[in-house]
Amino acid sequence: MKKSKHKQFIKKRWLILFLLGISTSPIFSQIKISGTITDINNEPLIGVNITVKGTRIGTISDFNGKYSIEVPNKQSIIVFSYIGYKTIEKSVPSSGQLNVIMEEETQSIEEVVVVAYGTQKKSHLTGAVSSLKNEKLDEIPVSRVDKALQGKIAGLQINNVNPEAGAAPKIRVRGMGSISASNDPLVVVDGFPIPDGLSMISMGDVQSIEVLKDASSAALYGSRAAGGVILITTKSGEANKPKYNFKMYSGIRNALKLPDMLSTEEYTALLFREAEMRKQDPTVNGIATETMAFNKITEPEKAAYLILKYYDDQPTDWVDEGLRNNGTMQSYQLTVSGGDKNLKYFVSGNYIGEEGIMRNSTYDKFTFRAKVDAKLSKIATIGVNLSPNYSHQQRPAVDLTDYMRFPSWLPIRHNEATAALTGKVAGDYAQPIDFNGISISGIGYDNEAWHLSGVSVWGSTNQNPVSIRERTRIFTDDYKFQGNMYLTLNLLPGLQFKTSNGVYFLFREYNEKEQTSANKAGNPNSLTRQLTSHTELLSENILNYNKNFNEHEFDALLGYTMQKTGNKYNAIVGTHFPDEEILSFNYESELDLNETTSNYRTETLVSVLGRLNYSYQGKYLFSGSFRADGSSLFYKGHKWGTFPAFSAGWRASEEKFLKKFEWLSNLKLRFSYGLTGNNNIPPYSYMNIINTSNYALGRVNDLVQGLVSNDAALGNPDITWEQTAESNYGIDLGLLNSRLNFTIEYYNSNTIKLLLRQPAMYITGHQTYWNNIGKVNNKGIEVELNTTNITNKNFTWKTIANFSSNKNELVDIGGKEYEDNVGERGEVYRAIVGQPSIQYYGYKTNGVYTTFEEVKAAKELKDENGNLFIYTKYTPIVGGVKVLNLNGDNKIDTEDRTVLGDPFPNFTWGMTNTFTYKNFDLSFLIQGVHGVDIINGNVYYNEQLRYNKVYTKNRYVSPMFPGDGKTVYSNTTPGNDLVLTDYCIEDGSYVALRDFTLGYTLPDHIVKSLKINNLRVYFSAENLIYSMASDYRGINPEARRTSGNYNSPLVDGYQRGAFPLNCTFTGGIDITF
Amino acid sequence: MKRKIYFIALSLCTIFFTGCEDFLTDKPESVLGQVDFYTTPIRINQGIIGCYAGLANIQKDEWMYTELRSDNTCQNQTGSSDTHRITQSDIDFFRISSSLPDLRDFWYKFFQNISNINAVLPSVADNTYVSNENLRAQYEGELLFLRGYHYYNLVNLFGDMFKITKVIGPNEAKKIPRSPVLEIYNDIIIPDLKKAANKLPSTYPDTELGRATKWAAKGILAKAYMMLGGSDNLKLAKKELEDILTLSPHDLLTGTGAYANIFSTTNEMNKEIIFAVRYKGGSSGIGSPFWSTFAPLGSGNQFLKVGNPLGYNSPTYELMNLFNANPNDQRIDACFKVWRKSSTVSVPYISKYIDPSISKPQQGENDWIVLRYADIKLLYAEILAQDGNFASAHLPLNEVRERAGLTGIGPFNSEEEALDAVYAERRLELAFENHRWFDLLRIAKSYNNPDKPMEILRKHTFETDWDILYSKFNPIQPPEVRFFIKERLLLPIPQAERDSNNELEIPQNPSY
Repeated sequence: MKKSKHKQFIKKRWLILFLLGISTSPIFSQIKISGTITDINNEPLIGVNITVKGTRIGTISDFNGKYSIEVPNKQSIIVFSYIGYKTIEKSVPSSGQLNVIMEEETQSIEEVVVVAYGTQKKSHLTGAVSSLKNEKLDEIPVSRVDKALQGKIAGLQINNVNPEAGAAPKIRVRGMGSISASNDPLVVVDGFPIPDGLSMISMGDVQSIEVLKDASSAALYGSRAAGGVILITTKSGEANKPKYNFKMYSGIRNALKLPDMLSTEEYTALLFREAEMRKQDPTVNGIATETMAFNKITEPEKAAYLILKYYDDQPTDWVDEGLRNNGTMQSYQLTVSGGDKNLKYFVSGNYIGEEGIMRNSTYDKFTFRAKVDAKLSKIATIGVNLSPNYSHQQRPAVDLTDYMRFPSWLPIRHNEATAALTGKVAGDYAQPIDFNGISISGIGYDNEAWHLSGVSVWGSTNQNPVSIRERTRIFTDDYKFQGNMYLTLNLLPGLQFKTSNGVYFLFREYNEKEQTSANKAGNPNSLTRQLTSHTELLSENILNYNKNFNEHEFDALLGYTMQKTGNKYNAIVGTHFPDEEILSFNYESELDLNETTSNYRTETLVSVLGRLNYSYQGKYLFSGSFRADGSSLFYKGHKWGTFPAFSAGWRASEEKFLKKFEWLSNLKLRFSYGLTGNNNIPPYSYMNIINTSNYALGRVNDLVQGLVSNDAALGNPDITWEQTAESNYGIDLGLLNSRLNFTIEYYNSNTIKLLLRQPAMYITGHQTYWNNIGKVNNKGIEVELNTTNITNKNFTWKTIANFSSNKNELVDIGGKEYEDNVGERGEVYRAIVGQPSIQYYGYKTNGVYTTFEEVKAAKELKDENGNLFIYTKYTPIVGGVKVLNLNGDNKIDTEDRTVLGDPFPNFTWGMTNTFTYKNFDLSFLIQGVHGVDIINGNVYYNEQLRYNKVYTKNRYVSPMFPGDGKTVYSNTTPGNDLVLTDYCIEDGSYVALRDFTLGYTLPDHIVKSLKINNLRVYFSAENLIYSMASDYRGINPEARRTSGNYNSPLVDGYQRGAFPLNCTFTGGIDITF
Repeated sequence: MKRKIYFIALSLCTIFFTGCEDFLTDKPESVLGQVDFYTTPIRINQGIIGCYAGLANIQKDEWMYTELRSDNTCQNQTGSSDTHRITQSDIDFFRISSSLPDLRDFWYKFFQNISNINAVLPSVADNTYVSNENLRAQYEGELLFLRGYHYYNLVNLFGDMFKITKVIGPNEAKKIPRSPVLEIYNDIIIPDLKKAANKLPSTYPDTELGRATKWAAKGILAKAYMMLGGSDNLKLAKKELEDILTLSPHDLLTGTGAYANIFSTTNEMNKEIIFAVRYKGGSSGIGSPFWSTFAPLGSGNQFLKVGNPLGYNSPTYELMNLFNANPNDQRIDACFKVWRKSSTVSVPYISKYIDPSISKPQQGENDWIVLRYADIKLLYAEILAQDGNFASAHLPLNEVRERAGLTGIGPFNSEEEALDAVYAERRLELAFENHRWFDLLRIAKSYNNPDKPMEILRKHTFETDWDILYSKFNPIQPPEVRFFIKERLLLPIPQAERDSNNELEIPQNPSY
């Protein structure tokens, strides 16, 4: 721990006086040493610490850099230390004169950063690269590397769309460049592009993570780099004695926020309370009425109340039924590393076990890694890196929405009473449909006798979620392996050849077992098995040349790589097994031919690449690179794309005229420009594909095979690479001996030749085709701040903060003005030229109609020709939304829709503060996302509007009791689909205390007595504090639908019945010996 | 050392440049391309089978744009906020939006199949692939029959139509305008069906039943002529109908329960059936959805063995009253039934497509009969009514009535009386078989009154069904008279189809 220079200085001043006062004293008849301390520019250094090693003797240099010290004997070692400078040790000179020149310690600047195909000194970087070292990242209780990165890097947006155990977040580097092809960044693990690298790596193995953000840094990965590149470097062995490290943590997790639902009892009470209010309301009393009864309770609702009162043992808390309390989270990791100068090794094993908030949500992962590097001779070095991995994920069969929709009167299983009522068997699962057409009598809520006959209490044909969950099992087993071998040959001084060859494969087995009637009454039991195997073969051959002479530094690279990806998918579905215990393919009685499919495909990529870095005097930096990629995804003549890049930097702080400013430790200006590509489209998009299309013929109806082109995609042989051109401007600033580091980047990227899945005219017989058309622009700024606020002997405080803001604009979409995409409820996502690529498009409302006069007036509206106003959508009704007529014509129809919001945040930020006090350390990350609009799909469901308190509180009751004038009365708006209006647009902004870690490292003397090197215990929490926007009505502002319609890059921002956020507490221990 | 480097560099280059083009050319293993695929008799046959499957795909939705829009059926859950039901109400009440995704999907299925037909046709025309003359004629006839039939439906549902007779690419499609209805008849429908009638065989072996025959082509051809109207066309139609009536092996099914037996899942392709779209129940994925979608809503598995009954396409009260006016009519039970859901609630449903042995949701056995002998008989009566022979129009009519257990009527005293009787009989005999819509279109011609179809629909909707289905309850959107106009007999061209063409302005049908 370094001491604060200033405080030290004050303390030492007393020491100087003391030393001056006693220096002539004969007691100290020792060797006197004196001299001057300067920096390399011959400027005197003030306040340098001078100590004698192994003693308490010490002094500091004065204002002229002069010092004087007495050492006990000739063997003494004198240590010169000064913050921001390299510590120097000197032995006692015979002359007694010792002048010292101290060199600036450039540790924080001389850091080495991993870049595409190599490493680079951070000081020489000219592109936008964010680097994150693994310092305690592995203590964050998450099961995937990507989740640990949330909020840590400017420009890297990690959106935890699904809090399910083991589920993947959505990752974007600098916004959304492509609108049809995938925007996922390329993940490269130890030089090996791996599609799901972020899930297979164990956090404990990670040395550092680098994000290549601008095009010039990423261009060397040319082809697939348009979505940015994330480089993961794993730890390696060091020449040392064997070092053992054991880490474990374990803890529990619970839901942070749950939906607040009305029970049947509460709901009935609400209806009667509202009836009383209406009675007091003269406007309602005036209009009497079949259509406007005081009490809007319906027969089914009365029946529900009676069932609860007379038949149920107790109300069912469905939300609670879906959740697991105190889910566990645990991780164990053992690593051993060591070696000598010729042979180094690193071996690790890790287990992570996670239980989700929802029942039946679990994730277990076992990861192993063995890394060996051997120096065979002066010329050759060889190494292997092997990492097998197994994970097992169980997924719940039902979403929380389904629990939220179920009313509390419905029991999970029939008891004797409900069985008698419905004619079902006691003990069987109770389904809504069982309560159709029942007759029931009793004393009602109002103490009147209620007689109801032939009531269908709740018309839903859905099965109760517990019965679905308990009768369905969904498992995914992933077997992964990454293996890589390299050979490096130092052919000539400075010339190195490296060949690296590897394989990555994933074998995934997905099983879905459904018992009889699990999902729908009468469904046969079934087993769905999907087998996926994915292989990547990669060969990279790189020639590297380094040459430094005078003040010139050259670093050149030339290489070619070949990659082959194989994807095999087999699915088989069997039904009608003999019983529920035997769901195995030897015993099915029917195979579902429709679902039994197979898909084999390969993809190849060949690349030639080169790079030249040049620096003059370490101040003027230039870099140029190119990559040419050939891809099998494109048709003859369109396979190749070239991706050049250029960048330059000027380390202004190295110039003489700035050197004199001592407070300025680093100033660098950077500019870069480059092209990256994207070929993330389905294979064979260049041709019309033939599919099976069977038919039945004959008197007994035999299946006959047919083969025609029924694929939605129309082949387009002309498609080729999508290209993103990006320029990046950056400033790096280091102040006060690099105690304050500041980086700001501005970028402007244009994606051209956009791989756009365009709608085809259907008269072609197809729906879409891939085309290189359209443009998207992203521009934004990123700020990273890294400060050492306080350091002294016992206490340090460091802050790392980042801020980023991106603006997305659709510049061209195939010559059209806009394109609409729809979600699961028909809500429209419009891509409009000149605006963000995704915007919600629907009706604007202005509260609800609160009075009858208002409704009457609206219905009697006439245009200037005396024609009545037409409501083709959203008929006016009290308690229903008031949809605005935006275009001023005489009807409310689709022409009145407008932009309601977009899913892009205005800005995001993260701030990590780390404190250490003596042996304690505390760090926490606060992370925020602001200005995100989301569509809350819950309003589509009547049950939500009725039972969810966020929709019943303050709702419209009558003209005198209009609630807040904004909340609709649930039952009055059938068909007036709220999902298409701004009623469901909510603010998805949040600020979260994302990670929090408090640790204690055992003092050295205790550790030594235990015969270990280091021991640390810590407590860690995730989402300890979480603040959501006030108008947000859901429970998890980060959740998004990502499957089905939401798979398209142009459909985003919709949530419905999301899983709750996790709040996790863990305790851990970390031992090195 | 230098030599070593050159050697390495050279060998790297060699590996790279020789291997690369090959390496980058991917030979798909599980994916077949359409170009040059139909080059053997087996593959050509598979292509044709695929086109029949395409027909089966279209047929699944056809009721929504024909029967539902007619006065035969309605969407009876008037208060439901279910998207499908709202969509169906909109279609039913002629306020369909041109952006309705379902409509676009229906449209797509037609052109998907037309594109597939056009992909196989050239290989059939070329005698190098199929050497057997008869087989080649049959294949060509089948494809032309399907294309002619699709276009017949397209022009009657959507009006002026895009003329597509070969496989086209994305840019070619943008250069094709809508051609007038008459041009489509003259260039595609009539010639395709005529050629098909010449080339197709009269019968097939038992294992091939379901393929289009000469008689199927003649039947649709007759309908096309009748839709065109005018004495010349009626003459041509009459000839085709007479061919079927006298030369074909088809006849009315007779005996006890004959009417119900026509539709039985255990009596498929019986002698009354001239052409049907074939479906196979169970797990093969080529079953029919009709029973699952028409079975009464809320009845659970009381009638429908597996899956959810959806209660779509529910009979109108006006039609049920017509049936019930004559309780002796043996067709009633085979056409519709009423489920007494509770003492106060009755749910009517179509019973023509019951599959008692359905084993997988939405995968029924029922075929959809496109053309049957009784239809031909009644078409013949329709022509007799119009070509001066109205006095004998009752003869074919009464053959159909007799089988239904009804007494004979006629002879008629005027053309109008004869026409009234024929259309009334067609409505009952062919109820829920998607014929009513086309009958309504022909009525405009037969009575020489383009407003007549909508007058009928307006009357039936607002006078009879209004009370029972809409006025008493709180429907989401009740029917509105202003949409019942003759322009709306045509469906709109899907908006997206117009939007995705940035080269030509595709005109929309009037009133949309």
